[in-house]
Amino acid sequence: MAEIDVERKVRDLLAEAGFTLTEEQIAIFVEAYPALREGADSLFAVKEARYEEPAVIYPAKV
Amino acid sequence: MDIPLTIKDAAAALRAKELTSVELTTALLDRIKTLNPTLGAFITVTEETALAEAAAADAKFAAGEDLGPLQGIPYAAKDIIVTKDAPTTANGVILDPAWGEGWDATVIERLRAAGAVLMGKLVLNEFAIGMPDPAKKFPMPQNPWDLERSGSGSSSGTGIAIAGGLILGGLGTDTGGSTRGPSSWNGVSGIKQTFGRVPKYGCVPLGYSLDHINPMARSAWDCAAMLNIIAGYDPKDPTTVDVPVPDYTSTLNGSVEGLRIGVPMEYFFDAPGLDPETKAAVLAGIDALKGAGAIVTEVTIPHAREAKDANQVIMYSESFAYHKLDLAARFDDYGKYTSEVLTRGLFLTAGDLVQAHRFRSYFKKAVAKVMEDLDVLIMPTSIGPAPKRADMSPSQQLRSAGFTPHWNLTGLPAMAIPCGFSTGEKPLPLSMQIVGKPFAEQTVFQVADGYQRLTDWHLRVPKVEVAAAV
Repeated sequence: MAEIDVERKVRDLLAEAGFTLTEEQIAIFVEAYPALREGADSLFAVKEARYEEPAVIYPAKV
Repeated sequence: MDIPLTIKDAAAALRAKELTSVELTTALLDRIKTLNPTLGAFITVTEETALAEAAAADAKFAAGEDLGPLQGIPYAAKDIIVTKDAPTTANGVILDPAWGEGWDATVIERLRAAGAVLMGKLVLNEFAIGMPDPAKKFPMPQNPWDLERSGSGSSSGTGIAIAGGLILGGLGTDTGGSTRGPSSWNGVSGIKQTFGRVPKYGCVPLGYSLDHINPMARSAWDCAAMLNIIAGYDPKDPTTVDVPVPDYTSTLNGSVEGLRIGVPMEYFFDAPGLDPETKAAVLAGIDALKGAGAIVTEVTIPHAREAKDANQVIMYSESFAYHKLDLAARFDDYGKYTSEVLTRGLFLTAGDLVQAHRFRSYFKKAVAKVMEDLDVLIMPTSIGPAPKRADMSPSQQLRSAGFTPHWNLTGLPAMAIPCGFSTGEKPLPLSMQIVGKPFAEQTVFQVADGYQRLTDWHLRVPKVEVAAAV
């Protein structure tokens, strides 16, 4: 992912969520974003998980 | 007076009338007054109520009433666990103080009923995540083995207070390693039991599906005695499981004969950055268990690297839901490392979270398959001994390998115990992690206790340099 795209993405997501941060604070998230995305994306590459149900159990009974 | 090192020894001394709970509590309160300004382990010390609880425990002993090994034993709780006699801060100013006022978490209720003596509330990484921020008003936790080094997190205060001899046992919490990390770097024992074994009711959440409240102490036997009290179904926590709780101490006989140990060399012993002394100490520990009759097999845990990522995706997503509104409105009221890590959830999608839970389903079954013919797995707890605080950063933690989150993801019981010390001018504790099958904590304790009868790493005590902080 191009660096300019990362910065735009991070700024947009922060703005949409109502976060008003300093440039220094935004820079921290711009730096962290590629590693976060890489970690999350790596889970879609695990072929054994392709047809698994999510490990979330909703108990209908109160 | 000589303060006993362990809950087991203190319980025996109380019953032999060699000391009273009031004497023991007073001696530890004195140590807290002397050492806490240096170690930064306690946020609140409940001296008055502790002495009253100690007197009540002594009165019960005098009346012939014995509630078990925790009666009269001083302990303390991480300050995200609600207690009626002290404020709950989560080590920050964000949490509404009214939320935790005037009631006890289920684990605290159970420890009170067992006659334990609550000494106060312990420092943590704010909201159980991130790193300490020196700019905030809370105590800075310092590792008693070397004050320049980290006490880990997030249950830093619990690990430091036990290692520093301020309490005999304590409560930590663990969402990705927050009990086992501080156990590792401070040289104490701590177990993250099976998810659902201990109620979380009364604990500020971090990751709802990953959080655990756990015992920490010097020895495996002490942790087992604490887990005996706090384990068990609680209708106020729907994640607890209504299954029988064994007496964890009654089966501890020191034998590891015939127990089957799996050693996952790939990832857990070859990760980039793994400290060679840690690796050697853990392998030596496994050899010691083999010499005592355990059967050792090399195994492979598939997709171990992705399991750490899955735990992070879930933890960041679940914690962000809890904190989003406060982060948007009061970002700078959080510690700078807390807000940095909590905000990571903003950059993950709903699809990421569901995929992490799908991976979780797969990984749980994959580990169960590996463990079919095993009793436990053993691996390092941490990638190395405690680093200098100045060398740490959240971004470095995001990228580095970790060996503890896998067992939050699977919910399996996992215990950290000391297994050696680093070389150098200030030797630092090294730690190994013992992972068991679901609800098989007694097997984990059996291995840990067996190892601790062969070694004395868990009984080594740091000499705290009080003058350094004056």
